[in-house]
Amino acid sequence: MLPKNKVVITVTGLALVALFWIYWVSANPMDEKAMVKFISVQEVLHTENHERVRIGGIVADGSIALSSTNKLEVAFTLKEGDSFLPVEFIGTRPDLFKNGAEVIVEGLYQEGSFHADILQTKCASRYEGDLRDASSYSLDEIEI
Amino acid sequence: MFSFSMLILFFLFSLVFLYSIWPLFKGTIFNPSNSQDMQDALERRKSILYREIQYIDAEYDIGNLDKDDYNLSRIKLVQETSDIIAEIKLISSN
Amino acid sequence: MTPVLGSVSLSLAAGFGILSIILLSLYIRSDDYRFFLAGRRMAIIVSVLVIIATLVLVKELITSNFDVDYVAHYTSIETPTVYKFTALWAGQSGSLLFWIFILSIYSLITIFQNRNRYHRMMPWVLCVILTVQLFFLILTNFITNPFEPTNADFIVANGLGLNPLLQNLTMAIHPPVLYLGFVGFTIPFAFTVAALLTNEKGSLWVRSIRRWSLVTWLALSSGIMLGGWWAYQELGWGGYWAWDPVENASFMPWLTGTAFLHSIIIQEKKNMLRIWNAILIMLTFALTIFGTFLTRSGVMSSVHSFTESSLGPIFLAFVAIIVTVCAVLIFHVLPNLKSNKHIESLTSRESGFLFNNVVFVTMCFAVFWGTIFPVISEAVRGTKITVGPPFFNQVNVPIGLLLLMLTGVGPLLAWRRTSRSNFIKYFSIPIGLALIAAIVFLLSGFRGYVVISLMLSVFVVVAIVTEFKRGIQARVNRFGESSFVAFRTMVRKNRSRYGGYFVHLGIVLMFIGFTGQAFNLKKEFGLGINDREHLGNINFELKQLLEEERPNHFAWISELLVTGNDGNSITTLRPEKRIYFHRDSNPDRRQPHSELDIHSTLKRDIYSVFSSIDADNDIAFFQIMINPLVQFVWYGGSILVLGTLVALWPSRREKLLT
Repeated sequence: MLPKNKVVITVTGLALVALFWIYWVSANPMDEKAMVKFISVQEVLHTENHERVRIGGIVADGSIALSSTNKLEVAFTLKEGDSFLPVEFIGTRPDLFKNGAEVIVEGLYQEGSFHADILQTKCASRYEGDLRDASSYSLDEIEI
Repeated sequence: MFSFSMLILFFLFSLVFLYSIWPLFKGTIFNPSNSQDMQDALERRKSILYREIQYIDAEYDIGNLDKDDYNLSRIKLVQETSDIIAEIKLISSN
Repeated sequence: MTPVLGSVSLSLAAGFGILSIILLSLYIRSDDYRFFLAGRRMAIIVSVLVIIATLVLVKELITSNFDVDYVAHYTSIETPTVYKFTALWAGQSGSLLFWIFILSIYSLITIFQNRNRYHRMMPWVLCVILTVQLFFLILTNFITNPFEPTNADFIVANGLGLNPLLQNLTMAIHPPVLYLGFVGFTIPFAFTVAALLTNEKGSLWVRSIRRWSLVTWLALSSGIMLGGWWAYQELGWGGYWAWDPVENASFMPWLTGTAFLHSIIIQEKKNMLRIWNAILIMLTFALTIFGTFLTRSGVMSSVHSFTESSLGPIFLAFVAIIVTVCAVLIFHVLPNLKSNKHIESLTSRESGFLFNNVVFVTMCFAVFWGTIFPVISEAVRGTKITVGPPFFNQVNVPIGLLLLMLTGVGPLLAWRRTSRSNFIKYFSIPIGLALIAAIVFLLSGFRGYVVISLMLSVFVVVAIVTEFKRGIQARVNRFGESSFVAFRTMVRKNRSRYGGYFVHLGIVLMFIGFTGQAFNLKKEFGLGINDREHLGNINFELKQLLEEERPNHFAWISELLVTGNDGNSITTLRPEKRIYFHRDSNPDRRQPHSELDIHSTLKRDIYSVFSSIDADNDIAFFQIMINPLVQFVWYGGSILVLGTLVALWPSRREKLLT
């Protein structure tokens, strides 16, 4: 075989292996947190499945309740449009977490309430534009 | 609504505009692209060749270049360099 | 009055931009040099006008002219002056203006550097730069104008102000440094397009853009690292990289840009891989525009769909046009680009660079795939599937390790082919030591990727040291210099190469830092006074809980005594919980902020966050993390920067050349 063909074949082969690898990881993620469905509050209330999901909404005014014994435990209501979802979360809350904050939660919906192990906030309206970069970083991931 | 500052602005704008289109009125200008670019390119090519020769000398010493490749490449580079030097001499003597 | 000057400058810039492109096109058609001179002058004016507009906005910001909506939105009277200035790039319209500002400066430099040469390429170069400038000018003139007047029925006495989270030095300089990198790739892109269109043979122009690309790359690398540093020091989640769409937006052009930097060495020395290089720089440029789109339109990170403005679709359209035009251009010049030289062996340095390209592009595609997957899944299946760090880590770790290996293998390969004897001569020690290291690590209990990563790190370090030794030895043999003199002269005469090796050393250190993440520990707990908790073999005892009222915030200050299992005191950490605007009668306006405290050593970082407080019972809640080897990332990054500076340092000859 001519050296030139050998090189082309090797490179093409590598490229195919690479594409396959990316596809394979997408289809078989090792961690359940790798690929998570992002659904609406309505959907989570009306479906029976118990898979890990991600939901976005606003913290309903006045709904934040901290546990009296463990200040890391919080319960609040997530509001999306006209739908409401009770959420429980244990962990360090993002600094921007307050009434009216846009939040994203990730976890499991079980027995009438959503048990979140990830709680993220988006920028509050007062600092809308300047947090455009920082908001994506307002991550707080806690394992229960 | 004609304020003094608007007048100044308009005046400055016109000046700037005139400055930029001035070359269009100057009658045909000798296009330097051909001869100047050529000489310029030759000079730079010469500098690059000097560095290339140094480079392959270093590569050969380190062992990254095979002896035959090295000799062949060096001869070619030296040849090209002397060709270019000759050409530069020709152009500048004109 | 002056805001009007700003918007007028922007409009005039757009007008002159169009005129300039027309004149330059006329020159290309007619070869009448007068058109080029006029067109070039107009290009200069476009850049000057943009600079004027930017200076006007800066003036409005610093003098707090709240009649300008942008000023009212992003600053207030209380904002410190330095942050009034940095508000220039805080918001969407300001940052877009900032983009063209930097491009305008680059344009002026390019015009000046090339005022007496490349007469055939320059009109095309300028047209490309002007087109990009025009795109952003259209955006800032018609869609998000930074000089928009404040829309209020009353006189705005004070602005909204800048969030305390952004009021620190790192966050202030991270965007401009990043932009210097992002925007910079426009220039090598413009030259490449020009070279393709004018069928410019020879490697002269490649050498010029190599330096430019290196400066740009340095800025981009620094910008990315500053972002990671800020995230780690300020945000409190204990990490420096989250595979967030905005982060990925800057990482993708970095990947293809790094590949480009390496690959053009081959084009310079051997005139090969020209098609690859053209594609790589086009990809890099397209990715910078795409990256600006990802960051500024908020389309990926938004909880809801597209934001109000039509910015998103326009950016996407521009990217699509760029990609299409570039693809057409490549096909058009393909016959001229094909090199008559071929790679002769898979063990050659040339093929090493080729593999390098493939691996970098693969990683870029993997990141791209993960970043846009949510949009694709929503379009195809109707459900949006978000992609988190575990995916990116799983897919990229093996690819990254492959890159690490190439970093060591590449420099050891010879040109055209590595003979068997040379292979044994140069590879055996690095491979041997790496294998010994692997055995040591395995015996120490490490497994999996950790072992591979550490083993490859050893391999690369030994390979780099070998390279230095070979160079020194060659000079000692030929010129009889002492080792030290040989070392100095060798680096001085070939700064690119040896500077590059320093950069690789920096990368190895960073990989060691990344490997430390496999051993991160995290725990959350509450402590009363004199209570104790432990994480790993470190103990934490709350000694004090203080309250302090400060000028613009209220603070709870904790004092944590950190001790090892042997009882020895390691340090005292003092994380704080602050409340800004604490006097505001509306509790929702009070802004809590955790001020972290980190005890950092080479071996590990002990990272403490004051999460919450039970004020009635005097119990403080903490999030504690133990992150091993993080300092390696920062040290590695610094060496990367230093190595690049070595590579960039002009030698006397270089000054003549450029």
